[in-house]
Amino acid sequence: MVVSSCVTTEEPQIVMSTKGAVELRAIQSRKFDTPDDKKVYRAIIAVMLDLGYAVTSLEPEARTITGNKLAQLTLTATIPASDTETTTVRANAVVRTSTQKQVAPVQVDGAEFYQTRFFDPLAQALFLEALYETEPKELVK
Amino acid sequence: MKSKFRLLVTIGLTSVLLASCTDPNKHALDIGAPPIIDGKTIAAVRSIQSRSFDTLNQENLVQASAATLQDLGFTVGEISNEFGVLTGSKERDAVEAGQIAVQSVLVVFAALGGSSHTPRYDEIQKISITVLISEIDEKSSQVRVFFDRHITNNLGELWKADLITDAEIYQQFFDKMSQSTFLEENKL
Repeated sequence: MVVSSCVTTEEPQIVMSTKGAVELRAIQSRKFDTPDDKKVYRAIIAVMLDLGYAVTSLEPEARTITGNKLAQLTLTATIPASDTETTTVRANAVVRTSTQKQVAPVQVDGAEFYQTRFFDPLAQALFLEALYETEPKELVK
Repeated sequence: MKSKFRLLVTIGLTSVLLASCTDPNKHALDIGAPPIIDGKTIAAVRSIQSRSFDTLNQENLVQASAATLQDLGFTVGEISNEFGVLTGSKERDAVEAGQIAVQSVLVVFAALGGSSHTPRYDEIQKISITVLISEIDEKSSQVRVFFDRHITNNLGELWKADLITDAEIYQQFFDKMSQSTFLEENKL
């Protein structure tokens, strides 16, 4: 991935993770013990501001929000599912490692980023634990 | 200290410009860390960004916020009454004669040295704003505002970005907001 993120002559498209869909989903998703998806959505917005993201796109009906930090990091969070007991949150981040136009942005697939830079602060804001849907290979405590 | 922070961010972005082959996950971890500005943590930054209003409900405060953004020359982007969120942005010319003069000198020196230099200078500054309104109780709500700034250079590269943490800028917003809430409250 590091090599593919370097300068190319083609139009830059997002360099997607080479990790499998199941593994990536485990890294990017957590569930919270609350059925109140509105409360979770509000907490996501507040946490993104705390972390220094400017909100760039908002789809309240779809429970989706996108923020951008320092023109380099774009984070999209969505609530794909909620039931009578839990609410699931999925996050996806894309990072630019250069301001040069021809350098492609890269999908972030490190478990540590999602755990420490999004789900931990979100869990603190909700006073709830962020639970794994399925445990990823590289577990971050 | 604030100027030091801006300088650090600028240096950071410039070094990113030069070093294009960094580890994306590590870079995301660095950039994604909670902002600590002038040694202040999130709580301190949040206090600069927040004020409580006890005259209007959340929906009316969203309307007052939208009016404030327009008063300040922002274009309103996203808006949600249900969640009390709105965003806006405005662009302005960022060209400074001093920067152009320095770049011109570098072009001349490069030419004299038998090489070339592509001049780069600030051209457009885009300021984005996010407003989040939270009901504290039936009579009062908290308004939180977040400003950030992106500067594009003459080559169309987005090369500088920073979070605006100048308390005075936030105070100016809240002063305007107070006027808007008064007008909204009295339907003027």
